[in-house]
Amino acid sequence: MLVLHTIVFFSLLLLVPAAWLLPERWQISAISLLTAAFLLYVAPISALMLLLTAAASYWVFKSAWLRPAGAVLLAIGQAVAVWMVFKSEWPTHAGWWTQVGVPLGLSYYTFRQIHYAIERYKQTLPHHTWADYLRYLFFLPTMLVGPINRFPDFLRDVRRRRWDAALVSVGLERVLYGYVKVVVLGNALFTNHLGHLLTALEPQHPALATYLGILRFAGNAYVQFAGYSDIAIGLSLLLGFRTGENFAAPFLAPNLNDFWKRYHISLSQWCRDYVFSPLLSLTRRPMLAIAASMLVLGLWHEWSGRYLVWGALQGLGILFWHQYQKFAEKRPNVVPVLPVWLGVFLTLHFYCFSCVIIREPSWQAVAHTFYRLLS
Amino acid sequence: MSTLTATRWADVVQTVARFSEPARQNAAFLDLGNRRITYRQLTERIAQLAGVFARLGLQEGDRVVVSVEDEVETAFIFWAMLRYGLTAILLDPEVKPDRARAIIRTAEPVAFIADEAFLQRQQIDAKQYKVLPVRLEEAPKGQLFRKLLGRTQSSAGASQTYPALLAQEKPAPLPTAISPDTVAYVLFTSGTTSDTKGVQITHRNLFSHLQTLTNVYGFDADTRLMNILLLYHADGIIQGPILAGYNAAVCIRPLRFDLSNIGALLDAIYKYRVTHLIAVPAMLALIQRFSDGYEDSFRTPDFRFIISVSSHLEEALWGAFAVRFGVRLVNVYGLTETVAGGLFCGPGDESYRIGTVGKPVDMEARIVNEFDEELGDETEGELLLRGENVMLAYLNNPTATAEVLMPDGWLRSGDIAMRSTDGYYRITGRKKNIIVSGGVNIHPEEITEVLNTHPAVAEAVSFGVADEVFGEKLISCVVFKEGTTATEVELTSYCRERLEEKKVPTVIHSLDELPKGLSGKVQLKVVQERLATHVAQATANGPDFRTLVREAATHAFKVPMEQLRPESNSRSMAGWDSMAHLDFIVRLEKALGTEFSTAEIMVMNSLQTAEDVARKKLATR
Repeated sequence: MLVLHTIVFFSLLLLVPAAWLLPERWQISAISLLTAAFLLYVAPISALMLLLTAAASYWVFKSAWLRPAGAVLLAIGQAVAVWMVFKSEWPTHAGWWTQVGVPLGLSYYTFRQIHYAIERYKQTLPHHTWADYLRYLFFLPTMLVGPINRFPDFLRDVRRRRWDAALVSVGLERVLYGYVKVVVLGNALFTNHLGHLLTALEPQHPALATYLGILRFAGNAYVQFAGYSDIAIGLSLLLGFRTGENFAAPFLAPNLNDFWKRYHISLSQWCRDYVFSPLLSLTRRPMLAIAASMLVLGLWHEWSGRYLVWGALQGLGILFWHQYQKFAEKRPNVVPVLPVWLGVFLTLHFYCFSCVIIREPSWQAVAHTFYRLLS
Repeated sequence: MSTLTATRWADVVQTVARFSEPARQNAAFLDLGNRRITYRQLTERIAQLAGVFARLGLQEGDRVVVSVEDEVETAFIFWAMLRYGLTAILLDPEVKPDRARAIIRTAEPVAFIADEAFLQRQQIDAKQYKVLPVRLEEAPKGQLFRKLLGRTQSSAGASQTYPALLAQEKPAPLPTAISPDTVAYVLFTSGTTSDTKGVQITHRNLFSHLQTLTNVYGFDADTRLMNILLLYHADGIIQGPILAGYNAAVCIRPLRFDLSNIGALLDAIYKYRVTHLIAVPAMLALIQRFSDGYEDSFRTPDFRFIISVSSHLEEALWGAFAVRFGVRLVNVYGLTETVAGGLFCGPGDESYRIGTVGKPVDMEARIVNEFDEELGDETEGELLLRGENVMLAYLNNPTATAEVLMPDGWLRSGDIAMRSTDGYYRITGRKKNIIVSGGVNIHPEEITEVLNTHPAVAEAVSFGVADEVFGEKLISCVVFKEGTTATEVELTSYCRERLEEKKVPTVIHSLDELPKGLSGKVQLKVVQERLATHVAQATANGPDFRTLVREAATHAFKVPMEQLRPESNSRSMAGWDSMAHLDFIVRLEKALGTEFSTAEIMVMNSLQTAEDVARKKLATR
């Protein structure tokens, strides 16, 4: 939260004026330099890792003695390795250092670099320079909370951006909406008010309180994250960049497949393009590709057993839905077509219940929660 | 039937006077992206150039050849000449020496304003003509240091080249009026060296038509017109800096059209707040093909419509483009002989029907048979046009003029057309022997003439064949003299030395003989048929990739065949999800009897790329 405030104020006070008042040829570079300065001050280790991995993922393709396939594997490998070292908190466990934590924005920039490496391998990227790539990675609005924006889109905005009062106005509006989601809905309503309510409800109606608590957790996570995304999109607009949407009313999705097209869109699209598609092309086995991409989607959040299970559950849910669809197509008379409201209800509950796994600190606690729900 | 209305138009004196209105002073006349030219600069330059013209002793109606590479200077010079009443002979700096010589011979100019390279190449004698050599110099480095030392004056002394000499030039008074019958400019159309046709456009022709264009398009000073066509073609200069100037609006030219910068061109629509884009159909065809992910480009708050000029806009492209980009395409039919337009399809619904050239505006149109008798609706015949914008005559070529200009003012368009009962005109064919390739008019005789001069060629013939992107492309056939031969590469480079790039044939076939009729004329139809069977035989051996891709797609994505376009892609088609993608690939593999690699499958996300990958795959097998 504190970092968020800092980013918003830093952006409004320095980034936005620099992005429009400097001569046009300096504007983008100024945004990147200010981002780098900000990161160096707030999280120097993150700034360092970003610079190192960025250099590696760019220059490996310039190497004369590496073939493109080797280069793409190296570029991905180094990014994933760094990400795993920090995400698994292995150095802390090994006692190498005590209080480092995960570098700010690591998950996002790792996935951006993998996107870059694969697209570069596929030769779909427009002409660009090392500086362009750095500008893409050192872009404060989407640095810490996403969305995982794409390099060609970023380059396109660099080329076409201009002062546009309407866009800036929309940007300010989005920042405001974001704040309302985070502060009013998330912090005040879900965390405080609903929290008090549930505490009061607990003694008489433990099952109901547990049930509402489960919905509350998922709901709170959604409004908070959607709020952060709004702020990121809004700040981007203030700088003249259109960053893609990250949420599209996911809790109204009639099935789990659709849910993951509406929830954290930039991540699920990333998984579709860089896990699902390559695996599908390689193995021709859709079920395997779905399972793998949902596992990656889970582990992206945290390199841990519970997120592995959580991701696997999402994958199973989608597989189940696909099988159901297939079966329903073949036997339209036997299998009933679910009404939309029931689909929405089931999807929402499946998702919320799966989140119990990531909410609770231990497997025992997870079991306890479900036990209380049934009591 | 005609819609001829008397239009009041502003002449050049009134138009240029508007440039110096206080509100226009700092407004942009040209925006080149990295450089912005204001109306103040244009006004100043017009005054300075008047001084040069006066010193050279030029007078109203004098013909002056203009051949300058730099676009800004070309626009400056053209406006200054219009204002001074001089007749500009626009000569493309790219033109080859032989053709330039033929044009100069016909034009009989009194003066030249041209790049030094051009003057040297054409050996223009400064004693015979008044000459203003143009040399653009890069601003010398170290200006700041020089300024600090107070040495702002160039040490080279008085310069003899434009624009450096303007520094010591005194502005001269501008003429108070220019006769509407004075020829404003002459543009030479393609043709053989013995029959050069220079279209003479008077001030009345030009300015009345600028008013027509302004009315039709709804232009005003807030218009932001993007036109990146070459300035030595009527559609580049007239519907560019001249039309923008007439409205005291801005003409935007941030880049040159190129396959590699289609994305940049589309992004420029938003960046420069473009309201109207002038384009030729070939450009639109390439944009349509290479703009995945740019579908939102014309949906900006400012953009109004695209204006398609200079050649036939295919109905299929027109409709597909309009749907894909959600934008209206206004089609303009006109000739160099009618300044620019004449018939307009759009922008208003009352004249808009895709596939037609719309209705005439400020012109009379009629359709006649070979005896010049007027025909009724729904009957094919030659399209004749009459109006204030019809040229004066071809310069020094009364024979050619008599062929197209009738004594009562009607101009033969050379196009076969048909009028519907509700007044829409449709072009159905062509009477004149001309090829329109990528918006450039080419007389095939000009190419034949060049090929015939090659030492190994006994005879040659050139003609156009339909082409998806360029509308038509130029094909030549040659018969070699006995005992001699030449490769296609040799013939092509021979042509390249003597013709502008756009007139070099795309293919040169060698034949044993050219089939001739009783009159001894080459039977083009027979040649074309022979070539067509030849080409069909060559392609019949391979699979029809496009059809196979479409068949696989229609089954996999459950979309009717007729809705599939080459540019259909995973983002634009609802049925194209990851599962259907695999189904599509598997079907295509089955049809082709091959197997795609992981990398290949991943890039095949539009029908066009799928087709390209499949083609490449089977070619390497």
